[in-house]
Amino acid sequence: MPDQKDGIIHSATEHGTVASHPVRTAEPFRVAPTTETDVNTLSLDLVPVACISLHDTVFEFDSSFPTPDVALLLKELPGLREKHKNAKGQFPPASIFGHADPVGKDAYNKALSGRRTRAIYGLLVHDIALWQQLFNEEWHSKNVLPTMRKATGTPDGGSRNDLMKAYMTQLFPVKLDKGDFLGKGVDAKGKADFQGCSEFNPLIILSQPENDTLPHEERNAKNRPNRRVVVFLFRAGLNVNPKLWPCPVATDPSTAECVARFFGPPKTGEQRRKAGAELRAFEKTADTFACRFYDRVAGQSPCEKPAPPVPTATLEFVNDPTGTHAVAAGNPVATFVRMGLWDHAFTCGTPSTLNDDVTELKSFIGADSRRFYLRVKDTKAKDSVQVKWRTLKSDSTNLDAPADEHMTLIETGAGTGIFGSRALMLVNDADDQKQGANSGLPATFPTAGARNFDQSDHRIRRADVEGFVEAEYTPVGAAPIKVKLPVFQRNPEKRRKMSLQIFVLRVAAGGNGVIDTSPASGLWTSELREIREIYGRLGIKVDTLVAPGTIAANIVTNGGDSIVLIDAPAGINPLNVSFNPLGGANDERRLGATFPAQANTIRIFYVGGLASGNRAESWPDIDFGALPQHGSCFLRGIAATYNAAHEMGHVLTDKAAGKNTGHYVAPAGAPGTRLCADQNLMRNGTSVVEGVLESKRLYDEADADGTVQVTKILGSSFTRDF
Amino acid sequence: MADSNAAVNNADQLYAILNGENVHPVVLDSAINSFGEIAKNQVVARVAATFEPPPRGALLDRLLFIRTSGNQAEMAGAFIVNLRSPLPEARKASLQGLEKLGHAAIVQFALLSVRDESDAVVAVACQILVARAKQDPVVWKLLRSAYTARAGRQEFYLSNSILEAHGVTALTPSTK
Repeated sequence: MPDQKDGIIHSATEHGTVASHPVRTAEPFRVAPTTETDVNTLSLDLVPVACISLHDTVFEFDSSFPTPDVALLLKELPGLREKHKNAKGQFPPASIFGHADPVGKDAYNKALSGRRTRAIYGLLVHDIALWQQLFNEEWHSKNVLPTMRKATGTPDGGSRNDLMKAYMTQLFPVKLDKGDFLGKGVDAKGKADFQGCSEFNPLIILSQPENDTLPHEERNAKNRPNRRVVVFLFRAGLNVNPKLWPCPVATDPSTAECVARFFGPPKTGEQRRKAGAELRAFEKTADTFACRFYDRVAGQSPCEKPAPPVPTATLEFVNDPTGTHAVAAGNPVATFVRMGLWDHAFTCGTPSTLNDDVTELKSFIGADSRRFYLRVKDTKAKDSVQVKWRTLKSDSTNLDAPADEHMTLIETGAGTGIFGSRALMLVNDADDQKQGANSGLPATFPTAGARNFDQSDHRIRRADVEGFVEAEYTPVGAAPIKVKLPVFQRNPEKRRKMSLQIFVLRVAAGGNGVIDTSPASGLWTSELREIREIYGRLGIKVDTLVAPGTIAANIVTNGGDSIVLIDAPAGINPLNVSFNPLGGANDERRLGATFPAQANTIRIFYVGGLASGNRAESWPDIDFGALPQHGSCFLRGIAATYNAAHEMGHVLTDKAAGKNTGHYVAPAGAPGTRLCADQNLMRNGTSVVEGVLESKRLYDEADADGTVQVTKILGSSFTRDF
Repeated sequence: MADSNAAVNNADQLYAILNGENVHPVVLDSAINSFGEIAKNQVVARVAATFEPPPRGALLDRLLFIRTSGNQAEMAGAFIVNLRSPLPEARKASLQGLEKLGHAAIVQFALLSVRDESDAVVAVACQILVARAKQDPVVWKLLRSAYTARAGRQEFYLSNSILEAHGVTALTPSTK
C-alpha cells in the first residue's frame, strides 16, 4: 500500500481503484528576464487530486455497457469529492478518460474507449438521452435490457427511459451536474468532460513474442489492465477553456488530434507504443503512454497501477429482496447490512415464544425483514465451504469476533460452485447477542441444531451503528478474500442522529438529584444504554447535549454524555410533579417553559414522583404541539425497564392519544408469528426485566392504526442528519 | 332507579380509568371533567372500602383529582388505611394524599413512615418533616438518627439526599 507521498489508495479490487493523489506542493512562479517583445506565459498546473479507475470487469465484454459492479466503485465518488473540496467549499471538477487495449485498430479502439467514457458520464449525470444514443449505437445488440431489469427488479413492459433511469439511480443514486466536470458541460459533445484515448496509453505492452505466440484468450487476459476508464478529479476551483483542451471529443472518429499530442524525440509516442523483446509495464518503465498530455495528467496517479489479479473465488454479502429465503446466483450483492428487527420472530401469546426452527421461515433470523446472507462463488470448491465473519467498530477493530467465527455455506446445487449461508442477523445488545439459534443446517452437518454464542455457525453478531461487518474466505491454494460492509446505508447516508437533553430535578435547591447520577448508576448503565440499543437498531445514533450557557456546576458528565441537575422552580414539589388535569398549577408546563429544548431535541425530565400516579408522561407534537413541554418526557425516577425509551417512542412515533392512547396494537389479521404486541416497545406498559422476549422491538410495518414505527421514527423532526 | 344505575355505570367507568397503570394525560383530563360528583364520591367510597386486594398507588394518587366536599373525609380514611398497604407506591400515595388534604395528624403519620422499608415512602415522610424539624429538636434528632442509620445505603438514596439537602446530617439545625 503506498504511503502518503505516493498518494493514498482508499480501495483497490479487481474492479478498480479509488485513490487520492500525492499532494503536490505549491511552487512560487519563477519568470525569466524578457525583452520588451517576449513574454512569460504562466498557468496553473493541471493537477488531479483524486481518481477512480474502472477496470474491464465493470463493463460487458467488448462493450461500453456498465455492469452493476460499477456501483461498487462509484459509491465512493461523493465521499471522494467531499474529501477534496477546497476552503471555499468548491468541489473538484471531474474529467473521464477511457482506454482500450493495444489489440485491433486505433480507430475502433478510439470509438470503444470513447463510448465507455460516454456511458460513465451519462451514468454520473443521469443523461438518459446519451444512454439512448449508446443503445442505438451498440447496446441494442447486447443483452443489456435483461441486465438492467434484473438489477432493478423491473418487470418487462415498461419504457426503456424508465428502465435506464432506474438502473442509473441504482448504480449511482447521487447524480452529478454537468457543471461538476472540468468542461462544465459547455461543449455539447463533452470536450474536457470525457474523452476516449483509444489504445495509446496502455499500462502494459506485451512483448512481441507474446503477441505473436500467445493464444487469443491468454493474450486477452494479459491485456486486461489496459482496458479501463479513469475518472480524475482535479484541483477544486480549476477552470479550463474547453476550446483549448487538447483531446478530441469522445465521438470524434479521428485519432489525429491524439497523435498530435504524442511524445516527440528522443523517444516518440510511436516508439513507446511499439512492442519490444520484453514486456514493459508503466509502473516500472514509465514509457508506455504515447500521449504526453495524458502522461502529464496521469503519470503520478495511484489509479494507473496494475489491477490486482482477478480472484479465483468471490465472497459477497447478499440480500433476499424477493423473499426466497435462500441464496442463489441471482441474489443481489448487498452494499450495506442492517440490524435485525425481530419482527417475525415470535409466536404471539402469553407468554410469547421465540421461533427457532431449522427451516428459515420458522427461524427468528430467517424470517426477519433485515436478514442477509453470505455467498461464495468458487468453482474449485464443492459441497460446502467455511467463511469467517465478525463485526468491527468504527475504527475497524474487532467488535464481535467470537471464539469460533466460522459459518458453513452449502453449495446451492451440485457442481454450481455457488455456496450460500443461512440467514444472518446483527443485534446490538448483550441479551440478543447471547441468544442461541438453530444453525439451519441439515442433520448431516456436525453443527446442525442449536448453536450458541462463541460457537461456529452461530448466526448472530453484535454490531454498532458506526461499525462494519466483515467476512473472510480462503480458497484452496489462494490468498484470503475479505469483504467488509457498513452497518446501515451510508451512501447516501440513511443513518440518523438524535439528541437528548436530560434534566434531573434536585431534591431541594443545591441538593442531589432525585435519581443517582453517579457513573455507575442506572441512569447511565440502564436508561441511556437501553435508549441507545433500541434506537441504534434503526440506525440512529443517540447523543446528549446541554444548552449553551448552562452553569457548569449543574452539569454532570460521564464519558461523552452530559445531563443537567435543575432546581425545581418555586412551588413545584420535586416528589410530586403535576400536569394537573384540574387546570391549576401546571408543573410540567412550567418545567417545559423554564428549560426549553434545543432545536430537534427530545427533553427527558427525571422527577421524584408524578401527581398523576403515572410512571411517566410524554408530550408528542400531534396532541400537544402548542404546549411548552411538547417533545418532552417526564419520568418518575428509574421506574421500569425500557421506560425512558418507551416514552421517547411516544414523541418519535407521534401517534395521537385517540389511537390506542398512542400505543402499539398488532394489526388485525396479522398471522400469529409476526408483529407481536408483547415484544413491542410501544405496547401499553413496558416489561419489568430486560431480555430477548421483552418489550424492546420496533417494527417497520403498519400497526392496527396504520402507524409504521420505523418510518415515523426515522422521519421524526426529533432526528437529524447523521 | 334508572338514574341510580347510570351513576353506578359512570362510577365503574371512572374507577376503571383511574385504576389504569399509566393513564394518558388526555384521557385523565377528560375523565375528571366529564364525570359528575356522584360518580366521584362513589369511586372514593369504593376505594375506602377496598381492603383486599389493596388499591394500587396510582389509584390512590388520582383520588385527589376527584376530591369533592362530599368525599373528603372518606378519602382521608382510605389514605390512612393504606399507610399500611403492602404496596410501597400505595403507602407513598397515601402519605402524600394526607398532606395534600391538610390532615391535622400529618406529622404523626410522617413520623410513623420514617421507618418504612421503601425509600420512596421515607422520602415523602422526610420531606414533610424537615420543615418541622427545624423548629422541633425531637424531630430533628429522629431524622438525624434515621440518616445516620442509613447513610451510604444506595437503597435509601432519595431520602438520604433530602436529609442531606436540608442539613439534617448536622447535630442541630443551622442557626443561619
